[in-house]
Amino acid sequence: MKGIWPILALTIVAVISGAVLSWIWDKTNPIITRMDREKEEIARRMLVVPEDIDLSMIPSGVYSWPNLGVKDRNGFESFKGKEGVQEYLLIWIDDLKKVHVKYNVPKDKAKFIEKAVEAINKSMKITPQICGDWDVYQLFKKAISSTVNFKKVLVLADGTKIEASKDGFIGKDGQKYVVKGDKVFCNGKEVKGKVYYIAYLGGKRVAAVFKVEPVGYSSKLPTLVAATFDGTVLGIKILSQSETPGLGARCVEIKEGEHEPWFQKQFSGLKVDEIYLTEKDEKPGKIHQITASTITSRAVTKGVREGVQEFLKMFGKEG
Amino acid sequence: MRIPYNLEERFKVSSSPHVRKSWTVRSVMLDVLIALIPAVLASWYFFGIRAMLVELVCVLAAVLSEAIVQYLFFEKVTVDDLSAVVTGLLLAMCLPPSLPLWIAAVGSIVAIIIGKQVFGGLGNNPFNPAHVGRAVLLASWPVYMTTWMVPTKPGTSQWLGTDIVTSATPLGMLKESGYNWAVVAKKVSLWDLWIGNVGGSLGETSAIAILIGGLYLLWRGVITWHIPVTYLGTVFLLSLIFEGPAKHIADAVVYPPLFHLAAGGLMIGAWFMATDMVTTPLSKGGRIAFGIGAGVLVFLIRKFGGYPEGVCYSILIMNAFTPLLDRIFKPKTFGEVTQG
Amino acid sequence: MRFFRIIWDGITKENQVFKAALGLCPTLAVSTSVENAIGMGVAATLVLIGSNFVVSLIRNWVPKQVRIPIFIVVIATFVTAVDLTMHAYFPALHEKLGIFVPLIVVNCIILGRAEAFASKNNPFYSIADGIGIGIGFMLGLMLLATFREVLGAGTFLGKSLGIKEPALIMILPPGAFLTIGFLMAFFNWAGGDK
Repeated sequence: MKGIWPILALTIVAVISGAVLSWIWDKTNPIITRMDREKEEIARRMLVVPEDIDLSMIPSGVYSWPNLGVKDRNGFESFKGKEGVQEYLLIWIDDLKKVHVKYNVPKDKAKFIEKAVEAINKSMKITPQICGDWDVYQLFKKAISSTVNFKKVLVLADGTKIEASKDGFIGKDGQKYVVKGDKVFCNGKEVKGKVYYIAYLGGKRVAAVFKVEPVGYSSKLPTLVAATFDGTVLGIKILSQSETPGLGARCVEIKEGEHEPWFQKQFSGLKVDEIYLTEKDEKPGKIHQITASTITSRAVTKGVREGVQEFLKMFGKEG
Repeated sequence: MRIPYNLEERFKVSSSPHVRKSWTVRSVMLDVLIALIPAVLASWYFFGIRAMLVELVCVLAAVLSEAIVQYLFFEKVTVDDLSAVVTGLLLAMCLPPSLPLWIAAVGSIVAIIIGKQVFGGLGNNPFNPAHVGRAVLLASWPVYMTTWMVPTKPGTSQWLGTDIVTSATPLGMLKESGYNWAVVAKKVSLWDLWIGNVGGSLGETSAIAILIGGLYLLWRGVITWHIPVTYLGTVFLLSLIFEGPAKHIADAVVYPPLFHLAAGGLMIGAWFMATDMVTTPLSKGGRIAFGIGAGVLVFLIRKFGGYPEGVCYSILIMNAFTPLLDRIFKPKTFGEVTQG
Repeated sequence: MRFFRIIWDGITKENQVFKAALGLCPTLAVSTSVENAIGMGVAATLVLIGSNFVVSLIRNWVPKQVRIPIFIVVIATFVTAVDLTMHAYFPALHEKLGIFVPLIVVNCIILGRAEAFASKNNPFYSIADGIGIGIGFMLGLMLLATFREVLGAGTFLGKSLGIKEPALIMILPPGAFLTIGFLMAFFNWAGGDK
């Protein structure tokens, strides 16, 4: 009899704790997964939208940041703001390619928006210079990026491509492939494969976004790469890193007066055979390494290069 | 009066407990300073005004910080034993000539305060103060600490310190080329390496000048042969075994070992740092073990580590082993019976 | 009043970082910036108060043989709750603190207080102890982080102080050891301890 009470006490405490935790898990888990997905989704969209946005590329319609569910001009004109959304930018590009906006942003940014709209209507372009303020430009870019459509394509190791349908990835023989994080499963078994996000802008297939995961000096460096079908890198984004502060961690460093990490920016516009470091690499390329951090620089460069090479192998013939 | 330099000749030197005689510190330090003269001259020849400035700042900062700390904590100010001068100068020898002077000063202050005085001053520090200073600087300002000035000739504008051309050290080149000996052999000749005509720290580059100083110390009896010989010998043997048959070099067998001996801080480490009386084992066996351990570490760090050079860390790591080595190689107590 | 005396003691006389030298692993690891230190301090304080309270409530029913597992279960519950809440509502801070939030479970301060204080005192005083020890831990972290951030990154709370070339070593692990060594020496000297 004596030995039962301790076990019972432990069980009771564990059960109560479990109940409390599962309640908290239910509350927080949706938020956490949504945030992670959103973060990657935003990065993916922003990579595909070019730095200088040419309005003639963009089909007329209503674009918003965040997604407010406004679809057409009537919706735009009757839009009165939305509860709980503190900051938004609604852009309506009419058939004459004239830009109209509705917004709610902090006061010091608001004055830039009106000016930016005027300038954009004159030059038919959206660039950081025309917007006059980086945050405003980012807002425009984020809103415009909502026009990008992605088609998910799962490419297996043998080169089979499976496009995502409503029910997920269904192979030719009816097998279902499940993608969890970076892993692909088929009937509960892990198979080699990679998901490519094919980006469509204004109905045209413009680029693909995929993830590479090189190993740096002290951490994995999950990196999104956007590349066009002729093998030009549009941009890369290192999603997370924990390299040495002051050395490898400078791969996400933003220099004073600039807005984007200089190291990652270097990749934009490069072809496969240019993605090498300027020195200390198999052959000279165009990427300036982070001072005293050859390992990190080389890891990212190599990872991106191999990712693009693999992408070209799988999709190059279509381009 | 002739001061008894060669302690082992006169007394039995052993691990603790023992009476500390501090009156020989000054003369020993003076001998170390004399031994450093060739290396200092070489640094002046190759790096000019910058070298003089870095050395001056390091020595001044070391002496001042020692005096101030000892004054503040009501201790006897022992600057006149010259140990701070030696620490400052040895630190300067391990620094790149193009280093901003204030960083050199910080290094000296760190070496004296964190490397020595927090442990209770000379004789109580577990780690070599100069290398502590260097390790802190390397971690703090890695970019400055790995920017190396190209050696020059007296009288040029670079020698006068007005404009500075930088390059990689031989060991840096080796690491960056992925240990491709053929590439390095084309760029660096053994003669330049041994004479010191390569990029690198002030006093580390000229192997021959340091060798002269080291032999002087040996002759004066300030140091014993055990650590330098085993240290250098281990690196030589390891590189002969693992790097020897390098392809595409004319003197394939000798180049890598001789390169390893002369490149980087190995020489100054072996003769001046690893022979520091305070931080190295007292017994012969312990010293031999110390030398071999440090040699293996240097080779491992150079060949496989993240840094191109490993002398500083190898000596610091072996410093940490010193008490253990002293215990293992403790001489038998008189009358002690060996356990059967 | 004893309630406030316990809080004050927790901050000064029984300061877990500088006097007891407990919980040094998270202290050294997250004190790279003042912001992290505050985040970690708040998380640890919340866990401390919660676990102290619950442990004290159930102290008379907990059989001696299984008290450590029960304490750990209680602490782990609070830590997981804080971790999830932080992840959901303060994602930036959570990303910076990383593994160290879940590791509060094995933080010796919290188990130590459960064992040494909460299991012997009533819930009211246990909360006071949780507050005091938690604030003491947070202040210790902030002090350490202030030195490290200012010297190592040239910033305070992320704002630049105009220091051009900060000493990187201070935000690397060796800087943490150096700083805490000097701070402990200072407090021992100031406290008159031998």
